[in-house]
Amino acid sequence: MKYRLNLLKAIIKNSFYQDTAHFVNNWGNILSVVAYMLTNILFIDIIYQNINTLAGYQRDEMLLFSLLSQIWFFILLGIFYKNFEILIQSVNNGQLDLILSKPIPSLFYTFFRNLNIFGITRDAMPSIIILWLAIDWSNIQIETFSLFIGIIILILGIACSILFNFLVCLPVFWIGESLSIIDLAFTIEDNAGHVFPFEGWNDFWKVVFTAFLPAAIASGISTSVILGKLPALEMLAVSLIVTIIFLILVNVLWKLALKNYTSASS
Amino acid sequence: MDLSLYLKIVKFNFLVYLTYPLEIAAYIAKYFVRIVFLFVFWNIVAQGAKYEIDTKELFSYFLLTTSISDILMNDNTNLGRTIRKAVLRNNISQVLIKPVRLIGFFYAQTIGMFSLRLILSCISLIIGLILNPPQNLVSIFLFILFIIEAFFISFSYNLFEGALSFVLTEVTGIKNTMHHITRVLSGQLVPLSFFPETIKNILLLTPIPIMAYTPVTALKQTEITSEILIQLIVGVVWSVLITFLVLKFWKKTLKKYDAAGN
Repeated sequence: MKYRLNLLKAIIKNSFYQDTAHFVNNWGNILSVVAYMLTNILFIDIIYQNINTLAGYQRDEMLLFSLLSQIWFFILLGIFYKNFEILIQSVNNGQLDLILSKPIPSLFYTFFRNLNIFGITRDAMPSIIILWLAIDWSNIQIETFSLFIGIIILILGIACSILFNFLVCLPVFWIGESLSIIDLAFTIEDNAGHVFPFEGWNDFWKVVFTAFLPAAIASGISTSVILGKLPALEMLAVSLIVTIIFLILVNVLWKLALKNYTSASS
Repeated sequence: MDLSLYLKIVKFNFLVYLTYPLEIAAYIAKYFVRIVFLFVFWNIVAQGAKYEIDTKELFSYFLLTTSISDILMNDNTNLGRTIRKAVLRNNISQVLIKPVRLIGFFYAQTIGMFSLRLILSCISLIIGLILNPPQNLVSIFLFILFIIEAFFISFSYNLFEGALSFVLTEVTGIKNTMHHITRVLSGQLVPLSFFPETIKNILLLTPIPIMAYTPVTALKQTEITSEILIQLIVGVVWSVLITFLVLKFWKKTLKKYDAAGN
């Protein structure tokens, strides 16, 4: 455990240096998230000028949904997705040898090889603050219990999403490339779970995007639970079971993938 | 200029892309998945609308704007990205010493790398045109004119991103900022007709809607009105001005480019 913590410390330090290497780009990134969030709010406002509800959601409920989507986005895209892309590239060009031949926990290192805490905080904070300020909280009724369970579901949903994205990069061990596959999976996940509420889907797709392609848990289900539109404990149980299943799948398939790994380089 | 050389660059980069068949399948699937989700989203919007929204028309609008943006590379700025990556990885020095025109080389490389996307975009453009056919010869003529203007503005937009990377090396943040603003204001995310009238009229005086919204709406025009004429003139002025300024900026920044290594 101590060894893993030391490894994490070194990774965070290295990621910080990498992320702050280009001074102007730091400000560019902040500007980018501010621009994204403002245009996103503008988009939602324009939509709501033309509609009454979106899948039963009012404007402020939709903004709450966007807020949770943003948390999912920054954690998945800012940390893990990048690491999975590096995994694909390192299998493709044989550099994975360098990790496997070292006395480090390979699965742990694959997940956390870049841990850009500074970059994520820098980019996420303006975005979340703007959204927080844009929501008229008096229009939303939230109970403490639902909020608590909703936050747990959000955490489980993000974990599920990370595990799912890891699973879809594993084909690289068999076919040599999977960048487009992970890109496809992310496109489906982003659109299915983070563009419009869970209630927008019919029952069949609700099951698909919860159990098989867990796109809806992180933002869709958690927002619904927070707003009291879905039963909190049932959804918590479902989210927990799905997370455990994906955790087992990752461990089993990672071992299988490593057994299949052949390299002719380094 | 030896055009066959650039065609070879296109072909080479396309063949590199074709190495992994499953990846190609995933890419094609992604392209259509994106369209399907767009359709689902606007269907949900239409269900809750205050007035009746023609989903077929809206769907064809998004097919057309998406495909035009992809073909002209103003959504993902693929040309700008190719130049940016070349600067960041210092591959640009290898191109500079070759007897090729730099912009031509990068354009050909980008077309080669994104050929599949361009082919898919052409397919969705055709589907969009079938769903929302031009009204008459005037609308076809206007569509072509606006597309020419959009080409120059999009090209300059990409080149500006590339030129900026000569000065700042890493410009992802700035590029993303431009992308987010352009996406909404060009009508790619939501048609400008959904905007309040005053904002829409102000936006139409800027070069951004010409990149997607204006060419698509031109398909609905049956005659050349004074409004359309103003839009055409605005487009010509912007495309000439922006292309001129960006080319100047490109030359200036390229002179200042300083590479180490390789």
